[in-house]
Amino acid sequence: MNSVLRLERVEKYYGSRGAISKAVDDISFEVAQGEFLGVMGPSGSGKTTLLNMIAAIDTVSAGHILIGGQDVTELSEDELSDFRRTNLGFIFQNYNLLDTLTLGENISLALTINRIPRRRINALVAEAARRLGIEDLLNQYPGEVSGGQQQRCACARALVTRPKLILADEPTGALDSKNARLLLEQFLSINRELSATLLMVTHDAFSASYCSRILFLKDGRIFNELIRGEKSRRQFFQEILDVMSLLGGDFSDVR
Amino acid sequence: MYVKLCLRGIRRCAKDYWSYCLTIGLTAAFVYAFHLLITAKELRALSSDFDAAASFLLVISIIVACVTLGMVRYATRFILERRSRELAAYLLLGMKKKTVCRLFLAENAGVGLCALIGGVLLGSLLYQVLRAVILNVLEQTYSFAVNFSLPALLLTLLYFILSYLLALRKSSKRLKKIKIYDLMYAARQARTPLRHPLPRILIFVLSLALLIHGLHEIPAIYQSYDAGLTMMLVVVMLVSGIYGVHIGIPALLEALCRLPFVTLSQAHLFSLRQITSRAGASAAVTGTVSLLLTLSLFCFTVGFGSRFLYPVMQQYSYPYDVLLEVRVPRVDFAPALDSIDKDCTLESYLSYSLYDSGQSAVQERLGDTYYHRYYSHSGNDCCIGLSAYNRLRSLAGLSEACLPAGGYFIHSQFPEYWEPLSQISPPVRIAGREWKLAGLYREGLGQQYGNNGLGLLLILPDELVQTLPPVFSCLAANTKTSPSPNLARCLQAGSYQTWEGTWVSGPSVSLNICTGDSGDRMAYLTISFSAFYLGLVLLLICATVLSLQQTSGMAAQRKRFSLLNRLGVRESARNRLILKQLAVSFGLPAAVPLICNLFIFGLAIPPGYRELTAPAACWGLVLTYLLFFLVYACYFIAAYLSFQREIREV
Repeated sequence: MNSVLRLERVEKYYGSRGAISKAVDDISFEVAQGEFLGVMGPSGSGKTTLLNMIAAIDTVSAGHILIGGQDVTELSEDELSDFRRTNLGFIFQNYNLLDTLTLGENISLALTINRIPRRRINALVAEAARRLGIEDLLNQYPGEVSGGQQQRCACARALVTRPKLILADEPTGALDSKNARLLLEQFLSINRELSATLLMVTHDAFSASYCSRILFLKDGRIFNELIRGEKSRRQFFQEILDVMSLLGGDFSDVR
Repeated sequence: MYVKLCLRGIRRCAKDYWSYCLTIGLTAAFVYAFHLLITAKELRALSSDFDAAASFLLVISIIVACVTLGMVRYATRFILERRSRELAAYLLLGMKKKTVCRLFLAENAGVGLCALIGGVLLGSLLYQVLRAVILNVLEQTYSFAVNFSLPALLLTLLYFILSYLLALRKSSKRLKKIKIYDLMYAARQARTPLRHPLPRILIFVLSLALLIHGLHEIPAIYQSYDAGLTMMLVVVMLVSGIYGVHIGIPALLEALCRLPFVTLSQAHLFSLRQITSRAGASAAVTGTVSLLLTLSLFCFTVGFGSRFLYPVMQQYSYPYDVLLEVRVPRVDFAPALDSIDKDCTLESYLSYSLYDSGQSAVQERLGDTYYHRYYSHSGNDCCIGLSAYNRLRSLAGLSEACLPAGGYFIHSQFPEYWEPLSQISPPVRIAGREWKLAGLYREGLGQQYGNNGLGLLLILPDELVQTLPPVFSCLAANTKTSPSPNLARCLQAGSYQTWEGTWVSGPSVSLNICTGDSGDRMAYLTISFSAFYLGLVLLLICATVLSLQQTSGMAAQRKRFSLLNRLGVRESARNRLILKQLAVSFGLPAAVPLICNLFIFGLAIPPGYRELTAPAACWGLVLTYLLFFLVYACYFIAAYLSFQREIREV
């Protein structure tokens, strides 16, 4: 398998000798090229912490994280910023758009930072915007458009530099159901048409049903794994709900 | 793209933090205006004391620059916290930290530069106002003239550039060390609640005691052997007291509200928790603001008070345009009168003698309190006849005195003698008869340089005085225009011929003259301007810091008010809560300074001078508080409207 992301016995703990709490406890998994992986779990299960470590926003306490074969846990700060620029894309729950720039400028900023020639930037921005259905909104500011449109802009910004891995932290958390569905369908489209590799952290079963594989976290450990395979999205959704109900039940029933 | 980002950032910063930009601009205006004053050749030529005034103003400018540095540091740190998520977004997009640093610094420097340019332009206009006031005081005609001084501009730029460089350097260091994780989740970092309020409550109690004791000790400054040391101790007590009180207030409020018999309405509880939730982190800032406000009020009162005190002290110190005393009897003042008339046109004059009373009962009764004894020639009390005294009073614009039979008056303008004289009421024995003290006059009679009686002048009936030997010859004159410094030199250095034909000069001549180039005038002007300048800048900076403080933790504030909205609390009720919260946030740091300032000026004036200076001090206080509330109210209203707008942007 051509893996884009590999985690080897990653741990994250807080505190000192007397009171240590493990947010992430010995997690290992791989994500293949073109895979759409979802990470689910209840609040406090460590999913956002895991995402932050993969994104190199937070440091690991133990273990290794390899993205495209590169161990990000051993990079310096400048090397990490170069790495993020070329290999990672981010989509957050609260969009994280720059409100002094228009949607088009937000998308093109990512390209400018990557030192893409100016003559190519407009074309790339237009293409990304068209794919996400926001080509008519490029001259609007974030405050002038809806949450769904802002999130699609964030998605276009994450996608436009063709990163190896796109990380999404609760991307539908601030959206209504219609906009959430639209966004998830865009994710699916990007995943299928561009073979983009996505890792999405979510607590929402509906959002997770769009993924091809789901890892369930509980108390910092991988609790369960579901692979969609040939199932329909509805069937996969039902399976997810079944597992989620077990997260509140007896652990031995699942094994 | 980076330039676009930077320019838009500058515009947004100017819009969001306009009170900070306004304060920088106004501060720059004042600094530039005063630098123009310092370098003004025209004003330098009008007064020989201007150099000293200019040096003093320069020192004040340096203090202002240091305080501005503090404000810029606070503001950039504050802006960094507010924009942490945005900066995190830049880093996540792959921008290097160095680039993010440069962008942030360029935006802040850009904001400062715009404010500075506006300030310099405003300062040029402000200078005209200051120039008009000074020319008016120095009895010169004002006419508008465009003034530009390269040294003044460069000095102003130097102060601000240095302040910004130092402040932004600190922010840059902080930004380089901070991690993306901390930038992203800065808003979520919970403020530490007050877990152990007891130490802070103790600090409050001790600090309050220290503050009260410090205020109580102010009069001791004049009674102490080492006034300087006492003043320093009083200042330390006041500073520690004010600071400590603000450290402890939030804990005290919290503890009081937890008392079983105290029941708060939900609205009051909400407001209280809004204040105490940030108390731990902001107590130090509030304490510092309170100290600076105290200093600001003090400066205002000194500045305004000087304006009203000047004419009072002028009249007190110089009741006559010329007061000449030659310490020999029967001097011919005709040549002196001629000189005075030629210089400044004589209006009215009185030539009179002072006599040796032949006894020293009053001096002896005063004992060691009477320090003028060291300048006395004969060791006896000096006296004057009633009619000459009344003409002297009339020349000084004072009402005439009426001596009862068998009585005498004492005239002394030294407050340290009044209380002992009132208590002792010494009778004197002259020409074989006892005379009882019938009254004590205290007005300015030009006695401060030893004229008119060496601190004490006995007023006796004319018929008695005529039997006594004259000892001093005096001339008091009022003129149509102010005497020139040349006349003063001439009269002081001149020789005087007695009726017997002998000549006297040098140490025997004592002159009290109010020239147009009076150093006192320049001194009052310098004190008044400097105090007002420093006071206003401090007030603007404090109000800005309080305004910025209101918008800290805005994400949490929005959540709380959004929750209130969802719970069905009406907008008018929410606005009242905001008003209450801001009123306490602005009111608490100002309460102690407002009260302390009253006490400081009530107690700081020496008891003997209270009657003389009370009207000036009262006017000074009234105008101080009016100006303070006007400026404070403007910033309060701006903060309220800004807070409302931020809360609505959910």
